[in-house]
Amino acid sequence: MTGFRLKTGGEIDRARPVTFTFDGESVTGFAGDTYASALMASGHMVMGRSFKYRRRRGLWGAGVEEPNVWLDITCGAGFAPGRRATTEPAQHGAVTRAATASPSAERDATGAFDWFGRFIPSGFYYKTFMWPDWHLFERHIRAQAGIGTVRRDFTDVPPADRIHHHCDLLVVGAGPVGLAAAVMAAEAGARVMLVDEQDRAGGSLLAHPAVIDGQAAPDWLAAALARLAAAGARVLMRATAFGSYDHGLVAVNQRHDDGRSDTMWQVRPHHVLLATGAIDRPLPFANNDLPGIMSAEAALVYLRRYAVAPGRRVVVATSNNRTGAVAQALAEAGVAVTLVDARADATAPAGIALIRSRIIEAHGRRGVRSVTLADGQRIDCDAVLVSGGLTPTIHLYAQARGKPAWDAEKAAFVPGSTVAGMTLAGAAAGQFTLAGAFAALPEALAPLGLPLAAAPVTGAAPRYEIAAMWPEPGEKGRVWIDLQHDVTAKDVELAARENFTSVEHLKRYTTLGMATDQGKTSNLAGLALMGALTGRTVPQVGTTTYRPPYTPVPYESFAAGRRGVRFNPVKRLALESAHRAAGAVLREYGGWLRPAFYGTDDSAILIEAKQARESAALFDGSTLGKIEVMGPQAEDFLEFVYYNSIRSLKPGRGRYCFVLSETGVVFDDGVLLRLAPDHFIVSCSSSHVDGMRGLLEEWRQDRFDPSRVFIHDATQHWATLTVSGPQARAIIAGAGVEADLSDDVLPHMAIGAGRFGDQPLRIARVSFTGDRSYEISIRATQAAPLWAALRQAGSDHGAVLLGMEALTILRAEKGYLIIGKDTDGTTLPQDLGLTGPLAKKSEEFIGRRSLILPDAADANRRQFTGIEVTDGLGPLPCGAHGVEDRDGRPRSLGYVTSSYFSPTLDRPIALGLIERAQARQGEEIAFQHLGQRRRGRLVAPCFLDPDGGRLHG
Amino acid sequence: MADTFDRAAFWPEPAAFAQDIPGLSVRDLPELPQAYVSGDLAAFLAAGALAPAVGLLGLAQGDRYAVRLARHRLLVVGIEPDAGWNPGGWGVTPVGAGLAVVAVTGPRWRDFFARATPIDPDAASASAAFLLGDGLPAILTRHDAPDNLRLHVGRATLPALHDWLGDCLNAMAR
Amino acid sequence: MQIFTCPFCGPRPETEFHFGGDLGNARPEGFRAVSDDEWSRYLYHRRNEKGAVREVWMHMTCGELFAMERDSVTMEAAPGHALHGDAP
Repeated sequence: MTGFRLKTGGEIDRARPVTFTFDGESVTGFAGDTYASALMASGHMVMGRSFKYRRRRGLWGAGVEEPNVWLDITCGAGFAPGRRATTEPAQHGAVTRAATASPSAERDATGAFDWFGRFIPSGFYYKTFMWPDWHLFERHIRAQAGIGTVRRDFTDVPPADRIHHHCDLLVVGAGPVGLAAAVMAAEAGARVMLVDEQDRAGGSLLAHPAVIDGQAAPDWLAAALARLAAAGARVLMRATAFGSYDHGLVAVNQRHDDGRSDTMWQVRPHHVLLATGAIDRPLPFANNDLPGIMSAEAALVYLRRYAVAPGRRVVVATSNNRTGAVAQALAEAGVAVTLVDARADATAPAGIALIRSRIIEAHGRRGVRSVTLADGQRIDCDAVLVSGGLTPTIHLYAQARGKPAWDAEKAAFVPGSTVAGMTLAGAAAGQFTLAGAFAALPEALAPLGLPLAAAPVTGAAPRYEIAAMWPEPGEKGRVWIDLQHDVTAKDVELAARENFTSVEHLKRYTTLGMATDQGKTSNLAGLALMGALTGRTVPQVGTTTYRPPYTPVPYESFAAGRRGVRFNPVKRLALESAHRAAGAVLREYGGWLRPAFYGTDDSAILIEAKQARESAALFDGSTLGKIEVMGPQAEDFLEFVYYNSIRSLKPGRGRYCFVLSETGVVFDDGVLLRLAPDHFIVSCSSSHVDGMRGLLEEWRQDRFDPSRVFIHDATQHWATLTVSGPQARAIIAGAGVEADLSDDVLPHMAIGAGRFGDQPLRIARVSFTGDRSYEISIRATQAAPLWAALRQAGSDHGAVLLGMEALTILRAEKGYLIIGKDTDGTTLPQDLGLTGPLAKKSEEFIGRRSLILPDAADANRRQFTGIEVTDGLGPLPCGAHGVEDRDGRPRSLGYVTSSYFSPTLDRPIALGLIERAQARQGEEIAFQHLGQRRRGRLVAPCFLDPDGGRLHG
Repeated sequence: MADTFDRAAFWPEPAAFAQDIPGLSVRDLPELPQAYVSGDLAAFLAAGALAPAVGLLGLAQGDRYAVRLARHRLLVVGIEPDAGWNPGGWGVTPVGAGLAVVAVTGPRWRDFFARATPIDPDAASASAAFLLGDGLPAILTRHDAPDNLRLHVGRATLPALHDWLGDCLNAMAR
Repeated sequence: MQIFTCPFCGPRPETEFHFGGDLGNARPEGFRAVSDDEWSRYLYHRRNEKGAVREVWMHMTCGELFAMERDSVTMEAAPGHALHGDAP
């Protein structure tokens, strides 16, 4: 037992006890405690196990820099895996366990790993566990390597909120410097946002007393917050600015304590001020990872904020002149303190025992019991507080491509190069006295260009003095550098021996700085040691690239509720409720929710396809793209866009055309309808509407006069109801549609007008089934009565409702291809047998030159073909490859792109892209799929009514 | 029963949307006549005695007004002129059934906008067209009063907008 | 989320935009008069410069095709300029 609660003091509410369990044991603290402070106050020392060697670990820090103590927390219905004990408020009734240990921190089953430490240095897994197969060992190693447990049953995460915020000044850090800056700017009229990762403002003031502008720190703090509120500043607590991104974006993740998911703020400030403070470093000595060894600055936080002392006989070891104050505070709390200061000219506060030396080894098994100093003394203790010096928290600055500079006197990386729109202040800027930090504020805020009031004033403090103590090469014993990833000085030496000497290689080879603490307490010591090993200075070794996030951010904060129906929304048909009422099975096609078939099982598909040809079919073709192109230059424009020649297309007529991309590959197909000399409708594949619109807009602006040709997407304005089959005309007339459907007025591939009640109609005689077919377009919001009337009339004529599955069979029977299914990213029009325009069209069109490149003339190109099944084994698998055997090995000739059983023909049919198919018509070839061989004959890609008589039937 | 891969249960049947929270009301509006107009926009506006077309969050007034969408294109609201190329130098495509309109009303419209897009609400933008929420193409203006917003989206995407709006309002209401 | 400036609309989030290739990659005209090599370079070769780049982008919500200078290392992006002059 070492840590204990002081009788008075702290921010805790002693009237409200909080009881939780840790590894099955009951612990009682107070409201205002973190799990860490409550555990420390109740005397717990061993609170976790280390990542690799499974060594006992206790608390190191008081905040986000904590590398050792992680908890899986179950509280009520909530579950939070792998959270730092130092940043989670203790909740009454919570059940916590050490996330890094199994079954508990005290009784970890794998503690023996430490005995094999010398065999599992950095990178051991590159050199071991390889034979006979790494995968045999991988599962067990992974089981050991995690932090926290995933609960598979816990999926109910409320959606995170995402808010975009614009302001003049974002201040990161609500310590005294950040608060002062925010007040100065806000009262000068700036829109200010102030964020802090802690649950309350104050920063260093909460542990270090100060007098500011004549006020005691708590009073000054309260007044500053009141002034910010009065000036309309936005203040967010428990909000971590975790990343600085391109174009001035700073992302802030704000936690809530009411069960909500976090709020992700995407802040775009004109200027950022980082007042993010600095983090204390460890000291290097053998066994410096034992429980009971912690940061001196953190110990002061526990003492002042939570009224917890780390022990009763404490050694305070330091390299700098800040730590005397920690020793003094402990002594005032009744703790026996010995100050061990490495600096030759060190002094101690009155009454504090001082030894000018340094620790070379700590002793103890379950926790530190004594330390040995360089001068040979051995001192018994129950806690050791260490301070290796301050490391400014410059992460957001470095993420914004700021280049840190090495300040040898302060033994720290401080901001170096200028970053537009960002300045630093306080300890983050290397300014380690409050008076100096305040004095530098006007310059830090100057870019705002506002008339600022004077910065606050506080008493002068001694300049920061430090005798940097880096790990030395060849030190005896195990000296820890990175506590969270269990990296020791010997691992750094190993990396140097194996020539991984660059700082980026050092990091990746040893994993130093790669844990969730991202090396906040370890990076500098590691690279300093590497420098010593390779004859370089610290700045010569340099730092690794800083990347967001500064601390872990839940995935849900990035997702912001975008899952389930919001993940990939589909477009909905105007007639969806009618389809549902008719018993449609709905599936997603090309981004739309559409009827696949109508009925309870897919036997309906063949029934629909058969009946469509025997009498009639009704289907909802509303998704078909309707892009209107109009203007004086519309015809010139479309003549260039299309592979086919379109100038001769008369108003009232349509033509089936292809659009290529500049590589000659078929991009889309569809019917071009001309309504007037300067008014066309480009009907394009449902899934390609946005792509076609983009293509049209690009050429309109890049090659033609954008003031003479215009593009409007009318796709969603019209519902298109298609009636197909021998009974089509009778059904349309029977439904009450007023239109002249005689063949001389509306021949195949023509468009005319009609009416239904008071609604104008566009009626296009276009067929995707191969039968006589009318596509009736009506205002989408007025479609329901027409659909109902067509169904009513249809029922008198044996019509069937047709879903997408049956439709694709009907079109395949006719060899009507589907772009992207029967064509791929290499298919040229000549591969489809369409050579006319290339030979005859004299005007330029998209992709024209590509059609005569050498590759386009290759005789072995894959060509569109029909396939007749000749082995009697049913439809070929879609995607089966045509194969020929060459030298005993099969070679792909292409593949089956569409394959169905045709109910009309009562046999299987297929389409495909097969090498030299046009020259090999009639030839039987082999097909292969999942090891099975099939046989089929290459035939013309039209199995039904090749003369097209049914279009006029 | 064999799996028919029916997605009808995953996608809830679309329904009208109306939700009120303190400071903001959102509801579907009845169908409005609308048309895309491209070409000589000044001539079109003059011919129809319409006020200049408004941009993003611009204040439109009355029953007939124009919304600027692009350099050569606007959306006219309240009328649907005849489709096709007009000899006056502009082309018209009716789109009133194609664009559903939602009213977003109340002093907390800024909190709605802050969740909808990274665009700065205080910076004027000539086009009222933008991407909203999860990437939905939308058009946003004010209508008749500073706190009355009108949001137009493709009618086929209206249920997706509703899903996003529900989450947005629930987040704002906390 | 970067912010690009459309010449017509002003600053907008990058998701509203679509990359359109190198600026100045003029389409070789003349059909058979264009060599295989020249046409292939037009189709596939990209300058891919480190640092200052000049590109074509489309702002998809308004459809504007425009030119934009960026820095492929620092990610800075200058305001785009219209292809056909800035007439409104």
